Amino acid sequence: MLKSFKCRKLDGVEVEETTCQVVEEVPLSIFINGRHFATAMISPEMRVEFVTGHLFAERIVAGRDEIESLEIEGNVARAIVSNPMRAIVPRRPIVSGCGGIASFLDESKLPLIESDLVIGKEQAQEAMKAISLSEVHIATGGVHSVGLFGEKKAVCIIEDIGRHNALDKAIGHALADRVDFSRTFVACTGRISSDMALKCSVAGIPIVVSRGATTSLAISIAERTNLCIIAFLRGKRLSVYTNPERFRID
Amino acid sequence: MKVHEIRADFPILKDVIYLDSASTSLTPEPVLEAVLDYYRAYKANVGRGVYRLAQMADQRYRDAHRKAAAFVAGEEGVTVFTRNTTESINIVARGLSWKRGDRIVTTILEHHSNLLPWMRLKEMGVELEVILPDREGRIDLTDWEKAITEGTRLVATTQLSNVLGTVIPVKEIAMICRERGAALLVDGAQSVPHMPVNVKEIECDFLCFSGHKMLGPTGAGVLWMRTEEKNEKNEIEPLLVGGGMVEDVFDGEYKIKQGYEGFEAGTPDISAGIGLGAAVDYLARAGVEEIHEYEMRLTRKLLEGLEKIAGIEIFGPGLDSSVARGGVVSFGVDGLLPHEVALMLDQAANISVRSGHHCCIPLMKHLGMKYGTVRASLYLYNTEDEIDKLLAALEQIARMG
Repeated sequence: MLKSFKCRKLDGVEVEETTCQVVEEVPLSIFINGRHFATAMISPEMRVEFVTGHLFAERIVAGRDEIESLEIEGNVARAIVSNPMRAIVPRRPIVSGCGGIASFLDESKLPLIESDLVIGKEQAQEAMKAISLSEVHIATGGVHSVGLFGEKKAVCIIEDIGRHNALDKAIGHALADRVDFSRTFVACTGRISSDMALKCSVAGIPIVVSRGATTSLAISIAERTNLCIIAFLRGKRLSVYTNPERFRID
Repeated sequence: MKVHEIRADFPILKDVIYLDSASTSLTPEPVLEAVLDYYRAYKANVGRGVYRLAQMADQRYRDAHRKAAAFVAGEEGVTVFTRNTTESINIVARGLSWKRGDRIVTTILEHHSNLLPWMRLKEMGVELEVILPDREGRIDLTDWEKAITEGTRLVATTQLSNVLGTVIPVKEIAMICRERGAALLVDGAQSVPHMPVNVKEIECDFLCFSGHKMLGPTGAGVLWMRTEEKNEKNEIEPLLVGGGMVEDVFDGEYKIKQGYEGFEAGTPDISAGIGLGAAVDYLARAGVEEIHEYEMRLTRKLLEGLEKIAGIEIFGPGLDSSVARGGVVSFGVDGLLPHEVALMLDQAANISVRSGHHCCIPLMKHLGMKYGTVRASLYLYNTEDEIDKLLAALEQIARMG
């Protein structure tokens, strides 16, 4: 995940020739049934989970079983899916996104999350603490961390240069383990933008918690999909933006 | 494993009682769909094109190799698609570099496909020792130990006799081979479709089997080869050279590709390969262990019934035998030729069974069965009811003999 690079550091007038640890970023081109679908810039780990999670979160497949074949060779991922038409239909862009992998979803076809999961303040705080312990982040300041949590323990905690990549990988990992998303929540270090809200909604994850902010479009999506957005979780503070019944304050 | 659901995938079973799966199995709808899907949706050659259809065909074809390899736990070796077991064995026979005086050990239980390729090597001065089993097809390990001498280059044996149903202890034979420095080729044509076969456990050097006996289409078989511990004993030259199998051609020389591609010159039977992949998926879904247990249940029922019919003799391990067996059951009816019995079963009861020498003339001669045997062989789609119908028909036939 890390690579060393030569670096000239400047502090005031003092110049130091040194080497620095930098997080690795690699392109991964996804082909679906022989056609280019997307090229993502990601951290190189967990490519299989990334592709499965991404195809699921982008609604190209409805489950792991619909990916009939997946080969990853260097910077190319080749998937054969049961219904490749889903990858071709014109998708109306409704959100902003980072790099080449913005989410495109028809707002009228937003999913509805079905879950009665309620989490408390302590659960949210513990989750945030767990994802903040990233050694790579401490060493480089260059990664986001996303954790998928069950009611009792973490399903997985993933680091990636992109928060949406990390979420895709977490979803991909959980799909392989056949995790019931309606009993999970997401904690992340980065902003809850519309693409993050959409990915949670498509997977059926009822709650997303972040140390960072959220956005207007994420809130309007969350209102329609029944997603609970909790932002600015820092120390004792937090802000619940949508579906507050999913969050227990006491 | 739900037999009624499985039978729905084989519409032909509405018309016939099919008891000749040891010869070739029936093919279920999902396999036929996979074959047709290739022709209809992405027909293209493999290993050559960059366009979408070629990419699809390539990936499906590679996937089929991976599936076939995983089915026998052979991910670590090379899994080559051939036409059938016969071709697989011939590739080994023609591909090893033989020296005058090299020694091969095999058995008289073998199908011609695992005998003739070795017999032909006699022209090159290779010696062939053929072990003789008892009437149940049993060969004592001491016989194997005696036959596999230090100078033995290769041992070639079936894992399940296609005539007597006897299971050969290939794992134990592999241990003897290791001690004596001989390579081991296992003919898995009858075993791989019907019981769990694991090359890691067996530790053989070559495993050969046919797709068409395991729900796949005709035209795709497998040669699996161990790649770790390569030595002159088990390293083989490709049988065919030509398109698709070379990395580079230069100054009158050529460099052969690594992996299965180096052994598959020319356009292979792509659809059959893809169909084989789908067949493996089908068997894995049903569960090979479950299939084996189910077949053994049917086999016991069949043996029980046959033993009760006067005038019928079972060839191979009977119900009380201590010899391991599979779902291939050979028998004879007093006073009737095997072909006559098979013809009567077909015409009077719509039951398809095999009759004759089953490509094992030396074994028939060894057992003194001039006209061969009648053979019923079972698979996952057969039922107890079908066994009852076979036994009822045989009871009538036996009375005529």
